[in-house]
This record gives sequence, structure tokens and C-alpha cells, in this order.
Amino acid sequence: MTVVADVGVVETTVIVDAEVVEELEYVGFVTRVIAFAIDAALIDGVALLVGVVVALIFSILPDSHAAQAVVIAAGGAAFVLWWVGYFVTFWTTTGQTPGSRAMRIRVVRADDGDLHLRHAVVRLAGLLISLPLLWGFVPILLDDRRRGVFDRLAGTFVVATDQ
Amino acid sequence: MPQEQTTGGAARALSGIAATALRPATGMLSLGLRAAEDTALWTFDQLLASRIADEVVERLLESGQLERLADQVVDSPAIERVVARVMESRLVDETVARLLESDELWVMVDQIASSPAVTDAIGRQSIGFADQVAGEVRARSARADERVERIARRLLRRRQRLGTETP
Repeated sequence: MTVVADVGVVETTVIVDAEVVEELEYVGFVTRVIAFAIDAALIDGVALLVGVVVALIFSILPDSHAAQAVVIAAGGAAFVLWWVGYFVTFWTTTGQTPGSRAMRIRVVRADDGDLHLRHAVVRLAGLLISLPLLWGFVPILLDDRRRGVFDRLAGTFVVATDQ
Repeated sequence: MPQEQTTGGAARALSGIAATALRPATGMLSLGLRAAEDTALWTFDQLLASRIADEVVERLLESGQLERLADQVVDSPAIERVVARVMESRLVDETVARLLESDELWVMVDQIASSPAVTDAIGRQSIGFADQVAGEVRARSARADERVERIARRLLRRRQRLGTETP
């Protein structure tokens, strides 16, 4: 299978055995940032809710600095796990996070294969290092296939979908 | 006085004779009428049972006469006046008030509202609305994608994408 992209076009035709299968519409910066913001809001909202519940429970227990430190460390670890699990699970199962679903976009691999755990982890790591000043998102504006740094690292594209 | 009594008696006697004489005739007449009625009903039954009735109804429907008649009835000022009078009467107000007071109405409304057909329809409408909103957001964000890219490429003096260049 070959992914053919004319230089300077947004839409690309995926060709399998010289047969045109589908046309891909690569998704740009604004749409992806909105999708990511929706995901971030969901992740933080859930984490906040859980944090409040845990804090309320601990507020009625006897005060202990050691216990507090343990709870904070456990909370931090749980948050990281939740953050990683959220993206990895959605990317490897449907290719869409809830934010992507809302914006009707999907993560696909360049070779049209399934997105495995390693691809998802690499993409997430790339996303993390791309966050300061959104520098990793800037190539989306300049790349003909609208790929960010994390897309290049994981060999993925973000394309528009009907749902 | 005796003369008046004699006249009255004669009249009664005459009417009695006439009634007696006409009795067979009226009997025959009523028998004839009943036979005619039975024959008419039998003929009508036969007509209804035959294809004629169906064809008559079909032709009547096809000819459009019924529609024209219905149009004339509906458009007639007399019908309008009757309907207006009925609507303005206290009867309608009282009927509506009683209907609203009845528990059966609200039971029926509850049953309709919770029926699968209605809930499905509401669900479909909600999904349709969500789809519409999502589609519009997506379209706007796609336009914003193009605009932001155009600006970024212009600032960095990079060539524009084919098909997205401004004229």
C-alpha cells in the first residue's frame, strides 16, 4: 500500500494495489487544538472531581503530615496514569478520543495499520514534549500533510472522519 | 235534538260501513308496500354485494366529484358560520375544561409521552441536533485551519498549499 500525496495539497489519495480506496482530509492546527482542549477539560474535570471526593474523605480523618504526603504522591501517580491511560486507550481502540470525536477527527497510521500500544505511547510522549508553547504543534501549519512533531515521531496522521 | 241524534247515528253507521269496505283494500295496500320495501332492500343488498357498488365508489372517487363536493362544503360561508358559532359557544370551553380536569387525559398523555415511538423520535431529534452542531463547529474550525495556515505561511514566507491560495 502506498500513501500518495501531491506536494501542496491538503487531501491525499490512499492507493492500495493501484485501486483508489479513499480520500483523506488532513486536519489542521485549530481543529486539533480544540479537540485537545476538550480532552484536557475532560481529563482535568474528572481528576478534579475525584480529588475533591478524596479530599473530603481525608478531611474527616485525623491529620497526619506523613499520610498527606503519601496521598499527594498517590494522587499525582494516579493522575499521570489516568492521563496516559485516557489517550493510549482511545487511540489504540477507536483512534478517537472524546475530543476528537466531538471534532470528527481520527488518528490513523501512515501505513494504514492499527495503532498499537507503542505507537500510542510514542505519540503521547511526543505530545508531552510538544506542549511548551505548543512548539510541537507548529509544524502542523507548515507540513503539507499537517503533521505535528508527535505525528512524525509515531508515524501517524490526523484525518477528518464522518463521525 | 232527536233530529241531530239521527244524523250523528247515520254518520257513524256510514263511516263504519266505509271502514269495513276499505279494510281489504288497506290491507292489500300495506301488504304491497311491505313487499315493495322488501324488494327494494333485497335489490339494494344485491347491489352492495355485486361489483357495481365498488365500481360506483371507485368512479366517484376518481371523478373528483367527492373532492369538489367536500371543497364546496368546507369553503361554504354557512359551514364557516356554524363552526365559528360552535367554537364561540360555551360548549367548547366546558368540554375543554372537563377534558383537562379528567385524570384519564393525563394518564393518556403520560402513556403517549413514554411510548417507544415518542421517545425514539425525541432521541433521534436530539442526535440530529447534536450532529448539526458538531458539523457546524467542524466546518468553522476547518475554515479557521485554512486561515491560520495561510497567515503562518505568509509570515514565514513559505509557499501556500495548492488549492488554498488566495487569488
